[in-house]
Amino acid sequence: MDSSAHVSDPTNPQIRIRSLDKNSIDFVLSNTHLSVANSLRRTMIAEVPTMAIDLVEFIENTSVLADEYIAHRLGMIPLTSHTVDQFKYTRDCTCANYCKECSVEFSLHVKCTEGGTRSIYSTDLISSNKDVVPVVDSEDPRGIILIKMRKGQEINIHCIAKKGVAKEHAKWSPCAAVGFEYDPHNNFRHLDYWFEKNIKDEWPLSKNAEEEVEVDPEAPFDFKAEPSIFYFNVETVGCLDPQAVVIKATRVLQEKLGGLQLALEEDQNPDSNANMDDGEPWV
Amino acid sequence: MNSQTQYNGQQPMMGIKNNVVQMSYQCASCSKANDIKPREPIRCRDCGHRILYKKRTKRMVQFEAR
Repeated sequence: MDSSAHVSDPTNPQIRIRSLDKNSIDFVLSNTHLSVANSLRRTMIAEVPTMAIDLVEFIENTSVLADEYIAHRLGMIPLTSHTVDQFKYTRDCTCANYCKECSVEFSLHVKCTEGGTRSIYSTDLISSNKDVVPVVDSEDPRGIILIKMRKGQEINIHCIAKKGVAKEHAKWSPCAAVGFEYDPHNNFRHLDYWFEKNIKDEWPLSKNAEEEVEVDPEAPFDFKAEPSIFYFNVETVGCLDPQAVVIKATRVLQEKLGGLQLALEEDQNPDSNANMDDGEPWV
Repeated sequence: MNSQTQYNGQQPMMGIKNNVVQMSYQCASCSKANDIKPREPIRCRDCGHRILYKKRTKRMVQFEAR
């Protein structure tokens, strides 16, 4: 490919990891198109499967909080999902309601008998699967406070956690926040910054600006230029490792593109694929 | 489950005998239990308070965590 100043080879994308810790990864993706970088960002946020509580059965609830409110809180608890690939989606499972192949069950039965406030933490949930448990990611080893009770109040619930993706409900998202930036100097003029007196004083550069050079503002504007370097900062909620989120997202993207390619090939030459078709009625 | 013991098998309605339903309510003022039949005045037998609370079902209730 012709390597003029701004066109890089989009067939050879590269990733440079700038920092990686327990629940965040900072990397630079280069030699690719903006659309690819953005689809990776969107896939990491919305299409990486994780486990989350989806059904809550209340046997007893005499706490001050309404059933719906507690159910919603329980759904938001991040669950460790390293083994999520071993589970099926409930809709694909052969079972009638849920089974251990497509879900994990949790139970919680607490009655406050002593005076004062009894707090219930996310770690009080008893899991049926040792690999899928509430994430503990704070100074407090007991996890998140779910409910506070007074003497005489009781709660007895049974939860069913299922595999899902965040495009169905955000509780399944493995990401807390995904930072995404390109062109920190605004060379491509994709942004039109509002300012009072001086644009440079009022819009300080991000740390990513050190990685690129600013084009001469006096030079004629290159309207054909396209971005090829993208700065990511992926923060997870603790259900998956940050590197796992990126790897799984690329895999999801790959699978979707593979499906698209197959469908296109079939569409272009239906005869050659007619004998490969197993006679699935819905194709 | 006293509602089940009242069921005589004639009326296919839950916990009803000869169309007489008895429900237990809790007084909002003195929290005494009050058994009230249809078209009876809504009034606590104990303190005369006119606000009564219906009791929570003994059945399991299921919610989607969304």
